[in-house]
Amino acid sequence: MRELNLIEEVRTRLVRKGFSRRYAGRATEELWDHYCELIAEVERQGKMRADAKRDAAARLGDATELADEIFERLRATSWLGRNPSISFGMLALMLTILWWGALAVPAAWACGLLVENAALRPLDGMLIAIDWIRAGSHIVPPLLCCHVAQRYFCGWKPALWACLVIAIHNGTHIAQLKPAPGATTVATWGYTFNTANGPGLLAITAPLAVFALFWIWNSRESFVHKQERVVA
Amino acid sequence: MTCIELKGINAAVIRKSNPSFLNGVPELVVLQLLARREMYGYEVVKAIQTTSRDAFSFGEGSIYPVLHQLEAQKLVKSRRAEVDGRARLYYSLTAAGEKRLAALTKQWSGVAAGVANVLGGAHA
Repeated sequence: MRELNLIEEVRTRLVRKGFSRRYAGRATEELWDHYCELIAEVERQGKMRADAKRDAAARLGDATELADEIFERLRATSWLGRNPSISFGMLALMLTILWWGALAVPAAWACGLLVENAALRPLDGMLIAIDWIRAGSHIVPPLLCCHVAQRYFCGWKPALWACLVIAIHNGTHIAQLKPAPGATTVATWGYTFNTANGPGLLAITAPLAVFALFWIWNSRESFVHKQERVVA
Repeated sequence: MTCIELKGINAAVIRKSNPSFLNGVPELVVLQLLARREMYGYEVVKAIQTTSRDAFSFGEGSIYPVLHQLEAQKLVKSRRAEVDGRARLYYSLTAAGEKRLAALTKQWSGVAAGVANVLGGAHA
């Protein structure tokens, strides 16, 4: 069934390019409706159904070209899509900084580190909070980058780029609190390429794993099965 | 890239040499048709073929990239309807779409007048 293959191929290509299953499903539903209208039109001209189906599929166009044009046109509708390297590199870092800022400041306040004589407070709570925030930063910012790439029709490549930036960030970033002599606390924040006390493999691989899982989850289910029921 | 062609002229070739010259044509045509009444994709294609007297030749599926782009730009809006067990999306113009249509019409009128002047000069 070339016609079903054509419509399914558009859907598959859109999903492979990084569009959401929802959008790809909508586009293929519209193509399917158009295809049915074309069959009815050709049949009214006195052609057999098999010929009508063949004509209708030919008039819809080529699946690759359709998917490419949908992708190019929609990607061009946002600044993120038009400048993916810069925008997603920046987005990855900004989301990571926002994540740390949004959680570390309230955690420090909750642990009593933002009040007078903070140095006298125990650091245990804050150290635990930093561990949790760090673990979350391995998952949440990459997930948001993948979502933004999908929402603004940017494709999977910018999302992968953003996850790589976050992986590099995780691999080189340090954030530590250490009690120092004289009842003071030393906060260390910065980047290092020293692998001796590195972040571990998980910190680097987690954003890439999030990316992989996001797109595997997105590409599940097939449109063909649904339409085959309609045809039957 | 674009599937819409003027009869005898490949718009993709023109696009490479002068990107802004004919780029807005699909948008202008679709916005103009949707300004008259709400339509779904197949109706838009039929309306283009009828009103242009088959001046354009294109793969009919290529209307959807244009419609979806206009929707992403909030120039048109869509509503879903179920017809004979099939999902159908009807498109209509938004206020922003009306403004864009006015701008594109003005722009295209200028281009058309310019081309007419050139053709007139060639025949003179």
